[in-house]
Amino acid sequence: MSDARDQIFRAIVEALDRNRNLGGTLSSSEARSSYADTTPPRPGWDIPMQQRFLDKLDAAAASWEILESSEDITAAVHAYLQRQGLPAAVRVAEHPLLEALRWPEDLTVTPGTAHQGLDVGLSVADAAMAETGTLILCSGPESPTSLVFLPDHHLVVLPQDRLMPYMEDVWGLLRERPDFPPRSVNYVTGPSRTADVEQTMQLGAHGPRSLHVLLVP
Amino acid sequence: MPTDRALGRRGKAMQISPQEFKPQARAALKDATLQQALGRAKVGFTEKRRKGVEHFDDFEALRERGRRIRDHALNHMDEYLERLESMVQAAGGQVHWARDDAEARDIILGLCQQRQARRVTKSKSMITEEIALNPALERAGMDVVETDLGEYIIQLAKEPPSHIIGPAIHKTRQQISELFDTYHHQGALKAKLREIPELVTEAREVLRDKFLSADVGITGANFLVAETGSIVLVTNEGNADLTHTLPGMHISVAGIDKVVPTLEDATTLLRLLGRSATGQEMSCYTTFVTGPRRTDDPDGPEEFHLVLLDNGRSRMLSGPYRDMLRCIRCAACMNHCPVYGAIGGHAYGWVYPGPMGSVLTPLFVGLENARDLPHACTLNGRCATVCPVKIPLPDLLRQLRSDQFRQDIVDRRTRLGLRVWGYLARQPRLYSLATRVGSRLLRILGGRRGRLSRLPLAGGWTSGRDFPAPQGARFRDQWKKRQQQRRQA
Repeated sequence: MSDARDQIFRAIVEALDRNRNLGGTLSSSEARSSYADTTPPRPGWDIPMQQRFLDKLDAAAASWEILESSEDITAAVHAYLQRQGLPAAVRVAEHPLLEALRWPEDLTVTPGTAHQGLDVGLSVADAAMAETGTLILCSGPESPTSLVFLPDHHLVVLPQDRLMPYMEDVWGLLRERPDFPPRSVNYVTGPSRTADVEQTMQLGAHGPRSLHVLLVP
Repeated sequence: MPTDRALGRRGKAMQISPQEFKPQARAALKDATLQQALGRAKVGFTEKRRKGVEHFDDFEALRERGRRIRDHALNHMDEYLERLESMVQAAGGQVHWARDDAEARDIILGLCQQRQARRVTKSKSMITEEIALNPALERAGMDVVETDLGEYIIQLAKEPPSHIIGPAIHKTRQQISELFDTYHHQGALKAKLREIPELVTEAREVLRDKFLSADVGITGANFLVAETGSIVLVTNEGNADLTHTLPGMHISVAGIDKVVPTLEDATTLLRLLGRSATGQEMSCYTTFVTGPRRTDDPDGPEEFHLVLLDNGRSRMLSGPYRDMLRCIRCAACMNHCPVYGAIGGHAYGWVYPGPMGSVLTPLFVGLENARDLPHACTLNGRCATVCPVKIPLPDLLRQLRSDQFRQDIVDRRTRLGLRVWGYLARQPRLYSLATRVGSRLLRILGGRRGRLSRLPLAGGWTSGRDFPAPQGARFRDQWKKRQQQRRQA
C-alpha cells in the first residue's frame, strides 16, 4: 500500500518539477496569494440581509415564519402540524434551546435521531447565509445528521444572530467552534428535489419534502 | 491505464467502446426515442445555465478565480495531498492510495469484505464508473444499489450513464415507467405512462429501505479540502447524505486531482459548479464530511475511508494536457456541444462523454483505442466559452489530433490527403491554380441549385447533407482586390 503512495507522490513531484523546469509555460506556478488576497467575486444585493435570506428561502421552495421569542417555537410547531394535517408528534434534536422549551401536553416530543417513517424532525441551525438562503447544520450531540435527511418535514430553528451574508462568513463563524470541523457540515437550501425524470423538477426525492424555517431572536 | 475488465463494462455497455464511435454515433442519430430525450435535455441545461450566470455580476471574474485556484492546487498537488492525508487521519479516517483502477477496486472490495457487507449503497460517482466498481462488488456477492434517481434508473436498465450529472438523461418517462413496472411490480402494471411525482415517490420508498439496511455507503467527492481533510458532496436529492450517514462504513473515492487548499477555495468553486451545471446558485445539499462519527455523535459511520486514485492523472500533470485536470465535472461543456446534443453520451463509448470526455478518454484508455474522439468536434468553441475553469478544450482536442498524426495512428487515406494538401500549400502558384480549377468545377457541378448531393472523396459529408458549391470570388481574389482598393485610396 505504501508502495502505491510513494509511487504516486514520486510521479507527482517529477511531473511538477518537469513543468517548473519548462519555465511554467503550461500554467504558471502561482502562489495562493495571487488570488486569495482579494475578496472573491460573489453576488451582491441592495436589500436588507434578512430580506435577501427570506427571498432566497422562497426561491428554494422553503417556507418560513418570524417568531417574537423562542418560547413561541412550541406553538409554531403545533400550528405547522395542524396546517399540514400531521399527527401531533415530533422528533427533536437534543439542543439546549429546544430542551429549555415547555412543550404542550398533547404533543408527543421525542428527543434523538431520526428513524424510518418519521414525519417531522426539529433541529436548530448553527448558521445560515443570505447569499443563497442556506441553513447550515453541524453534526454533533445537539444535531443528529439523520434528522436533516430522514423526516418528511424538517423544521429548523434559526437564531437570527447566526445569519451571515456569505459562505466565507459562515466558515469564520464555524471555525470558532472547539469541535471544528465536525463529522458533517450540512449546507441545506430548500427541500430535497430531483430533475432526473425528463428534466422536470420534483420535490421530495430522498430527503424532506418540506423545509420550514422558524427565525427566533 | 484501465485494464480490459474496466473497459468491458456492465450489461449493454459491454458492446460499446470508444473504438466504435462512428457506428455508435450513426445508430444514435437514428434512434427516435433517444433523439426525443436529447431534444428536451439540450434546451433544459443551456437555458438553466444562462439564467444562473445572468444573475451573477461578474461571472468572468469568478471563472478566472476558479481557474487560478485549480491551477494553484495542481501546481502544489504534492503538498496539498500530504496535508489532506494527515488531516483525514487526525479526524480518525484512513487514507488509501491506488495507482490504477484494479488497485482501487481491490482496496474497496477488501474494505467491504472486512465489514462483511451484504448491501452497499452508492451515491452517484463518475470515478466509480471509471474503475468499474459495481461489477467487482457484485461478483463478490454484494447487493450494490445506486441511490441517485438517475443512476438508479440506468442501473435497472443495465446501462452506463450517458451524462456526468444527469446519468439517465437519455431515458424518456415512458421508458422509466416500463422499468419501474418490470422491477417494482413484476410487470403487473402493464407499463402505462406514469406521472413524474408518482415515479419519484415510488423510487423514494424502494430506496429508503436500501438506505436503512446498507452495511457500507460509497460516495465520490466533488472536492477534497486539504486544510481540514474534508470531502465535499454536492447533491439535490440528499442521497449522498443518507449514503454516508446511515451505514457503519463510509468509503469515499476521489481522483488525486480533486484537492483544493482551503474551505474558501472550495466555496468559490461551488459558486461556479452549481451555476455551470444546473444554473443553481447552490445545490440543495452541499456537505463537508471530515472523518467518521465522533465519540459523542448520535449518528454517522464508525469508519471513514478515503481512496485516492491516480489512474493516469499524475502522468497528465506533466504534459500538455495538464489543463484538463482543472475540470470540476460540471457538464457545461457537453450541455453546449452540438455533437453531444446530436448523439448523446453512450456513443462516446466510455465513462466520460462530450468534450471533456473526448479529451479524457484517449488519455485514460490510450489514443489508439479512441481514435475518433478527438475528431468528434466542430471546433465551434462553445465548450471553452462556458467552462467554469477555462479549460481550452478545443485546443486540447487539436493537440490530440496532432499527437495522433505524430504517433502514426491516422489512417492511410487521411495521411495521404494531408500530404497532398501540405505539398500544395507550400507551392503558392500551384495552390492558386488548384483552388481556381477546383472551385470552378464545383460551381459547375453544383448547377443552378448551388449544392452538390454527391462529391468524390467526401461521401462522409454528402451522405448526411448537401455540400454547398462555392459562390462568388475566392477569398484570395477578394483579398487581392481589397488590397488594391486600399492602395488606391
